Amino acid sequence: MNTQKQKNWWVYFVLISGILFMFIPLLVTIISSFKPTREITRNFFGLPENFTLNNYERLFNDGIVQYFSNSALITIAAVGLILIVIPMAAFAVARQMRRKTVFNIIYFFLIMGIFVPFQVIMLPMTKLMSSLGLNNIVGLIILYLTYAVPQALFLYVGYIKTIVPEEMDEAAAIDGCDKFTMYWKIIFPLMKPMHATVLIINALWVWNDFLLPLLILNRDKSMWTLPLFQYNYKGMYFSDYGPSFASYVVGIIPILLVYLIFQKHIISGMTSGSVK
Amino acid sequence: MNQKGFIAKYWPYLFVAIPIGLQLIFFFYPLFTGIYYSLTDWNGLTSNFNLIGVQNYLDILKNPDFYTSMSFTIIFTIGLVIGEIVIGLWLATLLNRKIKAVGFFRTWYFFPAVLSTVTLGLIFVQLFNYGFTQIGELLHIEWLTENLLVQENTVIPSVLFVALWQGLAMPIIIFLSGLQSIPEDVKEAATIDGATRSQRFFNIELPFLLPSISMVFILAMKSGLTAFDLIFALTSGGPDGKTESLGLLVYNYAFVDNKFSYANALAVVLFIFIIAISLIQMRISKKFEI
Repeated sequence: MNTQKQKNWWVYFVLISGILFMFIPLLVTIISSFKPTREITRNFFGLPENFTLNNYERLFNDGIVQYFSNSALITIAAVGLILIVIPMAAFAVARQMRRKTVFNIIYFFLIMGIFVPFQVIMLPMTKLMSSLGLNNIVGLIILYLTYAVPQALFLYVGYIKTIVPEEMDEAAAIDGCDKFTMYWKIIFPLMKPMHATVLIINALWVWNDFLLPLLILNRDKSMWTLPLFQYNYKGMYFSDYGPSFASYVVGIIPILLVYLIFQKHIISGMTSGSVK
Repeated sequence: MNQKGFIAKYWPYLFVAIPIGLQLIFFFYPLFTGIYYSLTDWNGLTSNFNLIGVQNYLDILKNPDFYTSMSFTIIFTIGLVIGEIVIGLWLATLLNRKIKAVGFFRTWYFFPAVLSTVTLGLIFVQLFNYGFTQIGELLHIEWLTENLLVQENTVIPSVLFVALWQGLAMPIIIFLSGLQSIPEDVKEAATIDGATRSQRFFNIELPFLLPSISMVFILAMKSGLTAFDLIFALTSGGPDGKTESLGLLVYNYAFVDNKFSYANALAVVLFIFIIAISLIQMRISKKFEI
């Protein structure tokens, strides 16, 4: 018993060191955001000697509210569309796969994207978007919907096949529902756990994404998302990094709050999403 | 009546119409035009260009930057795969012990996975610039007093360090749920038989974990081979192209050097590379299937 306790002592030591290892960078970022830049360069790890909100004031004047709202708008719109369009398609595919070969082909066609690295389509896609005049927020939302299809459809089809019995449809048909009403009234609510998973995976992906906004929105400052702004902001004041630290904090805090509230769903959702 | 009959008959096609349209326009069209452009000499700006066959591919094979980039990408990917599997397994087995506050640890070990990679990269740029150098000066550690990200012999381990800082979150949780799926009686039987901790790990836990390991392998490999965000934010490929991953090289050729078709050819090479490795991996994991 005693040796067991002694052994556990070093387990705690390792695990707590790991936590510190993760927290110190984030903590230093938050502390630095309240320091004047001169103090950051001189004493990186110390507490602020001259506590200041100046960095946040400058961040505010540089339009952080705009970039934050852009990110929020894009995330909400993209995830909303994903949840409307994809489960519906998945329902049709899951129900028809056994009856018609064409739906097997459609299924494979729609999940093909899982196997192709983004770099392969990245350049022609960027050209296409600007020639269609879609290198703006609307275009970006369409792209998120498109590139969410393979994984989300895969997850939904698997879910419908195992969880949502076909007798449901027949019962609804007897009640005189057409397919649209039946889907929205009966099937859609039955998929709630999968909606949660898909919502979490995609909301985090869209909110944190950098490459797509860089390709589609970089030319127009007023459309920047938060990560794109953070990246460009670093270069704006050369070595005057104070406001940059404030911009990182603005990125981390909302995610931290959402994570603390929904952590159980987020952990299980993201891990089940990675199981492709 | 007529409209109702139409819906009743064709509803499955109506339901899939939007995703099919989107995939055709924004996925398949770029995929095939990308492959086509890779066979031309288009710079992405002019209106006319010529078909030049596989010339771009031949040029890639003669380009020393390609090999620098390739070797960095491979080293980075191997480091990421080994780091995520070995350290991930180790931390997961620690978290699987009968310890207090396991929920607390689980929560915080997963947290890096939800943060933006670019934000993290930017934070670590500052840490390497001011933080680590100040630690080095304070503790008189010579090699730490210089920014490790701008020196050729320390930059790769440094990038890998940051990648693992975030990249370990997911494997830890995947391995942990793998460990928790091992039936209690199997573990008990082993303990009663007097198996040591390492015997238990190699003979009982490891075979159960093979599917999880195979999954982490694929995830780590894909994120290593296509790495972009983190490197773009941390080093932009520097110093002197030392950390220019294939993903970054594609971007730079297309948007910095205006070698559009050449960059497309490079992307196709990356694609073939990933397919080849995936096929090998599938072969291997089939062999070890229980």
